[in-house]
Amino acid sequence: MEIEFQRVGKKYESGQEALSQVSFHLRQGEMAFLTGHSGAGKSTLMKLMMMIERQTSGQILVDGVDLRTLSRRAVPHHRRRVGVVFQNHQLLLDRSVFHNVALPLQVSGADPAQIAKRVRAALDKVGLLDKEKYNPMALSGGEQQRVGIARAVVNKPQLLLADEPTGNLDPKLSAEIMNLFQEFNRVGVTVLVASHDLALVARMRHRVLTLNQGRMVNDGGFG
Amino acid sequence: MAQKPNQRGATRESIKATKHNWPTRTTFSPNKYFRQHQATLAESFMRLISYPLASVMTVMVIAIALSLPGGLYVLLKNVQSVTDQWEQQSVITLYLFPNMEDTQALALSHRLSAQDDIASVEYISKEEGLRYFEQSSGYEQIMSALPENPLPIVLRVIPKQAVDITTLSSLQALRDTLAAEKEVDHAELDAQWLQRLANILSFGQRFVYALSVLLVVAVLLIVGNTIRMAVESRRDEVLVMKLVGATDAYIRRPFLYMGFWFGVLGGFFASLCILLLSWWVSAPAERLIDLYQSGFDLQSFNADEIVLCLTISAFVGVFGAWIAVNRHIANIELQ
Repeated sequence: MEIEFQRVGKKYESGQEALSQVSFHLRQGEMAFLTGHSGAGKSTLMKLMMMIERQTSGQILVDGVDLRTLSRRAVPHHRRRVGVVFQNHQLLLDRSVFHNVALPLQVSGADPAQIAKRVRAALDKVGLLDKEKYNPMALSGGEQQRVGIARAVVNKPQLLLADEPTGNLDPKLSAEIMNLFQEFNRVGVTVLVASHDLALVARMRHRVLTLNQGRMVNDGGFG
Repeated sequence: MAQKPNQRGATRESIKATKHNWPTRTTFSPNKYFRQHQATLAESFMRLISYPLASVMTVMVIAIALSLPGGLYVLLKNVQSVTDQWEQQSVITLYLFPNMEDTQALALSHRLSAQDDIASVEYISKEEGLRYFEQSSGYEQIMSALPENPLPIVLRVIPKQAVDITTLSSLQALRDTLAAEKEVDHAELDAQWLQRLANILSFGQRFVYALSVLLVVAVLLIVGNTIRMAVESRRDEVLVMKLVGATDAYIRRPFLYMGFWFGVLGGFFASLCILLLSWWVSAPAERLIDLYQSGFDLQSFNADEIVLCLTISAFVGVFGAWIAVNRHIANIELQ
């Protein structure tokens, strides 16, 4: 999936300007990091891509389509093409790992046999195949994060967004998570990871976008 | 030419430039649709059972709210069927104008007795009337003191129809046409007690209707409030489902089914309450009826009415859930 921001601004009703004049182009199959202090606008940028928020100025093109032209009804279908991973992984504690990962497929009405197959494939990819019957609460932080990643990729999205996916993890686990993202990128998924762990980002040797107070201050380099 | 942006800020140009062919809805497959609904129906019932106390309380409140108008309806139905069996010979009394001559009055009497809906007409002349009056009232002296007989000629019209609840309105219509005859000063249908009863019954009917409407609205609010709390308690789930691309309809569905279950179970227990109540009062009621020796069977809630009760309550349940959910789901987004 190809993403293009053209002078995008987001001003909240409170008057706070979260993003202003942000432009960048993420090519099909590219992997990039998004860094910046907390409050720099990383999460807002992700929300705009997910259509959780709408920008107040500028254009966002996804595969050449202006997101403003999408109606409210089209939003769920847009989100099915995007996988998201959060720092606070947003797993549901009233159901097993398997059913957490199955959610995106159930929501899009996949057939049950297909669901089981693809959930196991996703869990296998993140190395949690033997934990499918567990409750997420019984897993460690790193494992929970990997369940979140399995859920994000189970639908075979064309874009993978991760907002501080290694926030609570130790360096070794963080590196493992990042390697997972790299693997998905290798099979053609466009990946954008927001992280303030500059050392880790630098080691990954990918394109780095840096936000500062809502403005894009650096695009390129290795951080 | 300057382009006017739409509410999301897209111009006609930008929309045209980026015309896409993304799916905006999944292709419809009846199999998938049926499977999803079946699963949601079962799942929403399991959820109800997983909070037994709260569910039972909501269902019972709905049941009580519905059994009140239902019970009154059964009572009314029985009163009506009792009164349907009461009938008496009907009489319409015509008081003619005082200046009417005997010949005119007799002509009217003949004309009326030839009418299809009239069995007979009894002619009471002024003198006969005076005699009756003197005999029955004991006012002979006062009457003889009057310079002339003040009483009008009276025709007692006996219609073919006996008067009861069902024929009352047609007899009233007959009385009105008779009152419109030019010789007639005043016409009276001797069925006052029946008219009163009819009025009381129609008052009772309206009372039951109004009460039903109020209580149905109460059920709507109860279901709405319960569903609103259910949505609130599953906020995380709704949030995650939205994030992974669930449509509003998909998110709404389990809650609508929950409303459906509340409605159906409430309606079921309301019917049960009414049946129990009817059974409980049947013994004394039958003894009462026996006193009047009327061949009348006590009626309870029949199958049609139970089905109607369930249908209404299921509909109200779904509608109440719809109102609560629609308002709520749109507001749940990742902050």
